[in-house]
Amino acid sequence: MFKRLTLLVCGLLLALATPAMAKPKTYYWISHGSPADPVWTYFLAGAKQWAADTGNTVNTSFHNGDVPSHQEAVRAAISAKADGIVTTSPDPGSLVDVVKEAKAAGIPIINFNTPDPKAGFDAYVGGDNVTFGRHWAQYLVDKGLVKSGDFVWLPVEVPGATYGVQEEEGIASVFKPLNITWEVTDNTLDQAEVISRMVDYLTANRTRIKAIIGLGDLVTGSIKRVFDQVGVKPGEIPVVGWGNSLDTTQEVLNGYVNAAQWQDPQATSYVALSLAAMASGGIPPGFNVITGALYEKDRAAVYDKILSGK
Amino acid sequence: MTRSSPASSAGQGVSAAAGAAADAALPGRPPFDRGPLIHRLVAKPEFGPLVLLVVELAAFWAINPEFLSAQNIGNTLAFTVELGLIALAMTLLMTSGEFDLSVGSVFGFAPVLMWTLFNSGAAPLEAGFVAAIAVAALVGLVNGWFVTRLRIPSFLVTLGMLLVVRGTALFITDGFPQRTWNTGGNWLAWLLAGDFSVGGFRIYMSLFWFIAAALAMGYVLTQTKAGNWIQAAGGNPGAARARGVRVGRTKIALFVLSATMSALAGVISSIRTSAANPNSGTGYELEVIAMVVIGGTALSGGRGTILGTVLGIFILRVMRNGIVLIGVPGLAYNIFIGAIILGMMALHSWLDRRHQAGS
Amino acid sequence: MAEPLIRMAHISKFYGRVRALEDVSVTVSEREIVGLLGDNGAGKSTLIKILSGAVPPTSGDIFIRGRKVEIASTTDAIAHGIETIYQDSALVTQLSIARNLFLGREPIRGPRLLNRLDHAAMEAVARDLMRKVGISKDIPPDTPIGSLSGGERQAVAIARAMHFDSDLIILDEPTNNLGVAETQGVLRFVRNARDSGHSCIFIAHNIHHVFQVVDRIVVMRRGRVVADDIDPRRTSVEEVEQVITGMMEYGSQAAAAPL
Repeated sequence: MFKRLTLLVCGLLLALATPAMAKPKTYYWISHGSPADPVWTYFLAGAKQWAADTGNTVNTSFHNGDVPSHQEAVRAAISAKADGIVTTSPDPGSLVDVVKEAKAAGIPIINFNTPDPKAGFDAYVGGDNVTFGRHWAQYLVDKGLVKSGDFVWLPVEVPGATYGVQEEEGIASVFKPLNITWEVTDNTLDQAEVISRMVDYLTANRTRIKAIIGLGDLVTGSIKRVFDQVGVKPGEIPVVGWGNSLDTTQEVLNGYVNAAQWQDPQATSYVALSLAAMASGGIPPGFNVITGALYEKDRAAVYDKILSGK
Repeated sequence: MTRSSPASSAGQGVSAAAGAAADAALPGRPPFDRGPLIHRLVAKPEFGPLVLLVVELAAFWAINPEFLSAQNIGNTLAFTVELGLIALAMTLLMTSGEFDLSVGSVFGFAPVLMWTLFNSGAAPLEAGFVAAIAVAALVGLVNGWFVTRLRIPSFLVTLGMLLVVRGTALFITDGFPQRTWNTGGNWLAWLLAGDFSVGGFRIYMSLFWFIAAALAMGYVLTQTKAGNWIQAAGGNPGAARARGVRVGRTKIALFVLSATMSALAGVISSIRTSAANPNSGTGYELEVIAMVVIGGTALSGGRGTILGTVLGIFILRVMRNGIVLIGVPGLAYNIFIGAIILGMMALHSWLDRRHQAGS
Repeated sequence: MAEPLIRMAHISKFYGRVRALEDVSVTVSEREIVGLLGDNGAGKSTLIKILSGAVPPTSGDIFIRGRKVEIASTTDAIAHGIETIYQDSALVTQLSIARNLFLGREPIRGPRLLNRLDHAAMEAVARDLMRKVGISKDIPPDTPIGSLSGGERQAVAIARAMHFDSDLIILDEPTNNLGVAETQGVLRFVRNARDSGHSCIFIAHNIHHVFQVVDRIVVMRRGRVVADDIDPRRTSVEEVEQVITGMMEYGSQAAAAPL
């Protein structure tokens, strides 16, 4: 998977190295996320880098999970006759009609970060949340960190949003047959509130929680602070989850988190925009690009360095 | 300028006689009866919230004794008092008849500003702190000016300011949260958010700030001339103005106070949680207003109670903490919070009506 | 002859192109109750607002005891000794009697920085004043004023004006919403005020009320003063009514054609 990705990236870079079209084009980059969610800042950075490298204009927007607002933004891009659109999917099925409109207008539209196979996107770049969930659950089982009959805590920022729902689906596929139970808790997107709620839940359920899977970057990145506040030692309760922030890479390095998922946020944005540019230039993309790597202590430093570079 | 002296003695004899005659002329009136002490106590707006808080504490403790453990109390207090600082200022502002919806944005913006200055090496931490507070005060000043000079309802003014401040925070940071790990024993950081353990309790410095603010604002509201002006400005601004109360100036001062408190709370929170996130504080304004209103301060102004707000703060946060501890399904939290708010509003309304009808 | 307490000279007020007052000159002497009468739109309220500082005049001057003064705000008016009692008494319902009495001019005790109200002084004066104006003796001064009846509230407002030693007390339709007994009480207080050394301007729709207390009647019509020294003892109510409506020119008994 990684090799394929590397090959593709090299190929695209070569293609772009030729200053073929000096005429700058305008692309729209639309995200359902929150502009200060740690991971989205890196996605955005990737988009900005691409714009700087290629000389094209990239108009970005965030929609905080608001589906109608997101749909409106894509439609606005279509009306503005964008050269290409790259967008996440705020809700499964929410962009089916919008994608049809884009294609009718002849605008290439690429899906990134949160997949929606139901909509007819030209291509998808990103991870597969169901697969990630499955991998995390499997990791805990394979390493002997949970066994049949155990209880696992799944904190999430926004319950009901696509990412958490798909991850839970993957987790369920592993845990259910093994009779492992779990609970999803709501923690909001506010850092102080996240810590407060997680501390409360952990205090109340400490004895029965056998493992934690952080369904989002903010909650996983808060583990150290929560553990310290409640008096849980690093490693006392195994943790896996998202790892796209410096908070989490540090936690992995210091033993608070066993393994974290790297989503390649900058690369995802960059490649998605490249695919859009390629399609705009007349070459239709015929494949998806799957990203993501689960890293442990030994490799955490790599990602820590990437994130610190910002 | 007061020229107060008793009416001249020439008139006194006449008025005394007139007074006596007036007494005789008035329809038969029983001596003013305010009822036994217990009635008066129950009629106070703080009584309902107090009962609710006690019931909450008792109920949660009965179901899960961990609820009143030193650690849980310490944890709950940590975040509660930060929100509490904002709620105290909001109490005074609402008593004067105005709202401030921009408090959440200022809460997020102030630490972002301070840490941006510090992390980029542009200023030492102390200077950054002063700058953040000063900018917040400016925001409050602008809010106050729009409301009192341009006469735009505070709801709308502060809503606009909410967006402006939030947008500014996001723009200057490009969305990146600021790192706040390297306070390294800085005296100011310790003064604001340091913590120490006292017999199992983890106490944050913010608790002392909160207590000081509560005492100060309670004093201002009930014991000072300024407090009288605040209540008059909210109760009957026309009358207040006619009597020479500086309504405009009072309100502007309260907007500045509200913004400053929010900034202080935000800075304290950023140090404690090691995060200066431009998106922090989203939604705080509504939670804070709910706390104030639950405590008994009138939504329409004119009557405010700091004690009530303190109770309201704890009622909401205790509820949030308690329902987790007793194992309510995570996704049902908001049902309980909403139910409390509705319940308390109904209670206050009922008490108010009883009071008007003459208890 | 001694200077009148208040002399308004050639006051005009325009709201845009609408002429609310035109060349109005009115005097009030010391210890005098002047009744200001006129139909709706005559300009009584506007004149009073100018005197109490709520609106500025377009032109004209105001003299207090012969000295020209600028009244640019309600604070100025109060500082010059002009107190206004409004229909709604300018009281704050949620505040107590004592706090209402001293609203805007609360006495401070202790260091200025602490801004601490002198509750003791406020309550003592409040008790004293309430007794003087005849309110039932048992009402504690910290009772919210919302608990008092309309007449009692007016009484508090008047007591407030008297206490702060204003030279001129303006009463703008003070008896509008009051019952018979309470009206009598208010009228009595107005007389007391004069006897204690204050002057009053008394505006009312009810001419009979006016007749019971005033020393002199001024009539306004359409922004102008049409009569300024009607003696209530020597003129009948009907005659005054006719002056108000324009059916009679003051100074002649012959009916004039309506303007």
